[in-house]
Amino acid sequence: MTFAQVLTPPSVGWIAIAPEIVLGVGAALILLFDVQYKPKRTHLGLATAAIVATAFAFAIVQYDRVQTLSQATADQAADFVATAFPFDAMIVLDANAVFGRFAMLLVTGLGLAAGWRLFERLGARAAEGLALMLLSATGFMFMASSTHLMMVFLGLEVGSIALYVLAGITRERTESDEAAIKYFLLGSVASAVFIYGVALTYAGSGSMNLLEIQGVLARNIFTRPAVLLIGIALMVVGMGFKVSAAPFHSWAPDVYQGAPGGIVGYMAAAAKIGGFAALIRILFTAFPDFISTWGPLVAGIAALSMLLGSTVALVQDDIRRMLGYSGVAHAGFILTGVVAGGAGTGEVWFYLGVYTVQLVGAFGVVAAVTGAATSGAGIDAFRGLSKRAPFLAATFTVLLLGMAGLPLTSGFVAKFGVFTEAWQAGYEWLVIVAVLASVIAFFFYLRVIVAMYMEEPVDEAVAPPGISVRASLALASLITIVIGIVPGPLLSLAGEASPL
Amino acid sequence: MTDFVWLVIAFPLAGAVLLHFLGRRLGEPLAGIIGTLAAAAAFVVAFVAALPFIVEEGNHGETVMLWEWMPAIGANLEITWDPLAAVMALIVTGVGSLIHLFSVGYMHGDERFARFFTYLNLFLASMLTLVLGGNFAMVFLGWELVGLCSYLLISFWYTKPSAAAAGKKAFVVNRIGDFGFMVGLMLVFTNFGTLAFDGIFERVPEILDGSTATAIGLLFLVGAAGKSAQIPLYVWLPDAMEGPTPVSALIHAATMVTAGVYLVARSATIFAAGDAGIVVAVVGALTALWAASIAIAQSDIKRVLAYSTVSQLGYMFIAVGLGGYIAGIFHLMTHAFFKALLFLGSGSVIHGMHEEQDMNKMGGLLEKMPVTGVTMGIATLAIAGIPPLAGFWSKDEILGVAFEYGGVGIVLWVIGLVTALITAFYMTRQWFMVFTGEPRWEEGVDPHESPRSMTVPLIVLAVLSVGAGFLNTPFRLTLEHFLEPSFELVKVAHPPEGLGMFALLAAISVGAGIAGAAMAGFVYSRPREIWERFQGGFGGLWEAWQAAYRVDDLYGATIVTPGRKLSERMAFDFDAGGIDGFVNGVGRAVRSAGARTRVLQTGLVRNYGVGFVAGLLAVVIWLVIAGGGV
Amino acid sequence: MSQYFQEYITVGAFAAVGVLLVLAILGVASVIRPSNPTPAKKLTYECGVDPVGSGWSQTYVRYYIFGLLFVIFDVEAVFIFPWAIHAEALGIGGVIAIVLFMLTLVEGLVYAIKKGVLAWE
Repeated sequence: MTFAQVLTPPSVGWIAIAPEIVLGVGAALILLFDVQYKPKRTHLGLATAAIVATAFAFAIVQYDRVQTLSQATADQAADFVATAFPFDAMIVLDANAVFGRFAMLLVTGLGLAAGWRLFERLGARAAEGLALMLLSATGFMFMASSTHLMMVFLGLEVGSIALYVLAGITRERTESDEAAIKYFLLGSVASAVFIYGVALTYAGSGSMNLLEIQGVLARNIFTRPAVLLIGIALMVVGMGFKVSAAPFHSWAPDVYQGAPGGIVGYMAAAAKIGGFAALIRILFTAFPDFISTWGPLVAGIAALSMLLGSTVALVQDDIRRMLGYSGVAHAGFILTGVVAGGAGTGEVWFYLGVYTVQLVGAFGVVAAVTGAATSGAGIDAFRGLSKRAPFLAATFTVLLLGMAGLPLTSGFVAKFGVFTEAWQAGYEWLVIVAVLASVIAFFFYLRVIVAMYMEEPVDEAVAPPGISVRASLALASLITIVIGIVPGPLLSLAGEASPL
Repeated sequence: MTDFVWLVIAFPLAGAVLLHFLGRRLGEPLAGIIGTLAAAAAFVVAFVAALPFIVEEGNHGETVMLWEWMPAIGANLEITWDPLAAVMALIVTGVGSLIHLFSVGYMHGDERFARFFTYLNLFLASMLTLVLGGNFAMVFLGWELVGLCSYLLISFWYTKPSAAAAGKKAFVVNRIGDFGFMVGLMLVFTNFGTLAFDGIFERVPEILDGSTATAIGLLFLVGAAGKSAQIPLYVWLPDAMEGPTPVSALIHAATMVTAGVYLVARSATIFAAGDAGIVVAVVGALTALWAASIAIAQSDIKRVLAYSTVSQLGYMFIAVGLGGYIAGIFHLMTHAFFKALLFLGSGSVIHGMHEEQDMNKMGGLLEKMPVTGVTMGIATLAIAGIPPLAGFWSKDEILGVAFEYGGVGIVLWVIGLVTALITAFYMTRQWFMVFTGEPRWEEGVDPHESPRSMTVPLIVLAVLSVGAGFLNTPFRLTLEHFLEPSFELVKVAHPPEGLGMFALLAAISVGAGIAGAAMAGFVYSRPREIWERFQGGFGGLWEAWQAAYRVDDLYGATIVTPGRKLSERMAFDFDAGGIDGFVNGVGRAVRSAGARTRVLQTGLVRNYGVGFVAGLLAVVIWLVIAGGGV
Repeated sequence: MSQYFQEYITVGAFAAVGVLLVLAILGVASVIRPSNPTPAKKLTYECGVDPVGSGWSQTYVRYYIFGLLFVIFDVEAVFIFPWAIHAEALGIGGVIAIVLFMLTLVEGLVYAIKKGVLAWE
């Protein structure tokens, strides 16, 4: 090896992780700038927004690259592999990863704007909050863009640990500490379960690269099915925890209730995107041939989530807990699309995209009504909201109806999509359960709407939301309605998003 | 040619939007007038758009595409403008306009006057979406929206707890129906790959086998039974009378509750391909008799009408279930006229009696309220099936269809006759109790005739209740020819041929009607003691009718209470006790940090096993066993 | 019963024997040994400093930060040594990677210092 050779850096497909680099470096810079120059919080916020926007721009570049890749011919095969599977195939540049980034960055931007008041309240710790937000987004984006179980796990941990801290960032309040501790304890066990699943999968297949696993399993009649099956089960459970699917959901309502209001929406949405991105990737890429085994398992989890989530949400008097349980039900709805296997990828992504936007928006309204740095949100605070804060009431109504899946909102298209996929995959019973659950779910959404429009207002005045909150809520509602009316473009974009 | 037909929906929708934002500023009565004009404009548009069907025989109409929503699944914003849609649109907008006009007077002085018209206009737009939609997605959209509007309007006076509870009940029961409808839609979509009418009805014979068609039909029946208040889901409609009376007239008599009938008629080819139709008819017949018997003993003026509506909807179900789609739609139309008239009349009475609804406290009102009394009298004769009023022609056509069907049809025919007799009885009873005899008013009540804006709609509807029947008589089948293009793909059932047969059946049914009316007239035109002796003659039966067979209590004990218990148990025992209990333990531990950190540690280990790991083990064991790994 | 599980029977048998052996030895010992406890014997450590108070006592929170920083740099070393052994084979890519890794940690240290975490005051 000559000296020159040593000095030549290896050619690396940086573009494949450009958005992650931007976010990660951005988070570091924000921290350093903060301690050195003590900038105004507004400037920090704008800088964070700029970082997210830059990452989004890179994601668009990636989308373009993926489009080119999809037209690669046979003689460009080597090029294709180098671009699509950089970093020794630890990372993959495909539509699935890019769509995951789109969703994640959109949610981050919305969450930042909707929860801005929290960062203002944090005072000197605002930069830490912002950096943690960027770092968790980085982690979850890696989950969507990795073909290697080790990378998936790293992404999971980076994302989750940042979220644990975010849950407790208003550390003066015991509720916030409580939420953080609960989330941390339960989350670390879930991570342990997941990594154990990874280990067993490695034991059963001899690889941690999802594509290799698939190859091995396709070639060989495997010798140790039990190990592999337990491995799959443990990984599904670990991800089931992240997306708050029953019976691994117990943290969700408590954490949503206790964590500071301004960040809950982002926390809930980001964990869902990361968890489902990894779940799709693992199940569809590595174990497509095992679908007859994990399909019924996922279907069972889905059914339990939908039924438990929607019935328990009925009796909640705290809007945040209610949204937490509704999140359990929604995890079930999305899993309904997962059981269809690779055919359902587009529908799952579509659902994830529109639901997480609604989720961030809904929690944004809750934070605007009951405070961005507080815990809990009793339904009393929402009575007569239409008279006190018509804008908040109107956007909340749109978002809740979207979650309920009323036609002409994005939620309807999303539900219809996953139900259809499940039905065509032969899970008629699951669709019937899902329809039943969505029928039940209508009640608690409507209950809030009724409280806002048809009940006497409480005396508390609602502080008028800031410009960024207004903008993000308006955007989230607008997306809900526009996608509901013109779902075509997003449907086709999500339809492309199948993993390589 | 009829591209402009979207205006039918657009007018009331625009009205709703306008009133929502400017309603309070416009105030009374301007907001009401604008709402009424929006409804009337929709009627005019619908009428103009329907002209081609009248001029040109056999015109199928067309599908007007407005916006490509989800073309891949055949769910676009499109309107199927065919004779069936035209008839429904004309009924909805026509009766709707009159009820809007009536409401201007009725809602006078209500502090949420403008809001009321916002909801009414929104309801009209939703109902029109339902009947004009060119695919099941739009029907479903309308279906959900009318439910929502109905909920908003029933609990319009939400400060009354009973109104809020009634609204909730209507919503809950309707959701049960919607569940059936949604699963049915799923089944349609997976079989046809589209939701568009154009791609479904024509391909029914080649795609659906009998059992699938039956399944879809039965699921649609569940939806229709919820919306149209049939057994066992009818319980919400009587309670829905808590809403303002114009709402009862518009939504719970003339339009929304007929959505189920419309759905069956629209999906005629699917019902024809399977055996669900006869089930529809049987459910309809049972409901007709059941509800009519309850109506006998009610003393609330609106509840009589509510049960009567349930019963009349049962007639329509008999018709469409047996394939007599045109007969069903015909009765839907005449019923819309005379039942809207009855409700508005009762509203006028309630208005004049200072919100009194108990018929025991009325009597002798004919002199005080002549217009209301006479028009309601006409409606009573119409619903009792006395020729030549509208109800006679349509009811007789249904009975004729049942008779011609033979077999089970004969049984249904007999039930229909008995119901006709009971109907005539309780309607006549109502009229005599309200308008004749000694005044039994509470002190301080000074009945007065309602203002012009309320009596004009009554008169118009009275004229329609007399005349509408001539649209479809055995001598001149105008409506039949008008609707035929919509039902070309199925065999429409008809009454027996020949005027002799018609005369015989008519004589029997009219006889039943006159007998019922005469009995009621004989008893209730006389003093109160006579009624009580008469009612006492029925013994416990009368009380059972009065209490509506206690079905509400039955549902409460068997479904509502256990359901709530289950929900609470899930939340507080299963979820909170098991997993949350541990989590709260952690919380307490953190609060009293320091010395008691130990609690956190042990709490974690013990309770972890309960929640997460239990689920985990279940998953693993199940997967290994099911996966055949061992 | 598959081959796979039969292999585990051996493991199970060994585990059972192991547990039994320990129990037997301790059981026999507890029966035959003399028992003569004194307070000194019952201490956790029989020599050195006397343990005082409960093991669950509170520690001054600043020690915790030092502990944390120590672990971070400990882990850093764990990564750097294996890289150093293979530095030549890994080439410039390896250098870049390890520099990035160290920069990340340096950033954390700078942040901590700037925040005044290391000032005892």
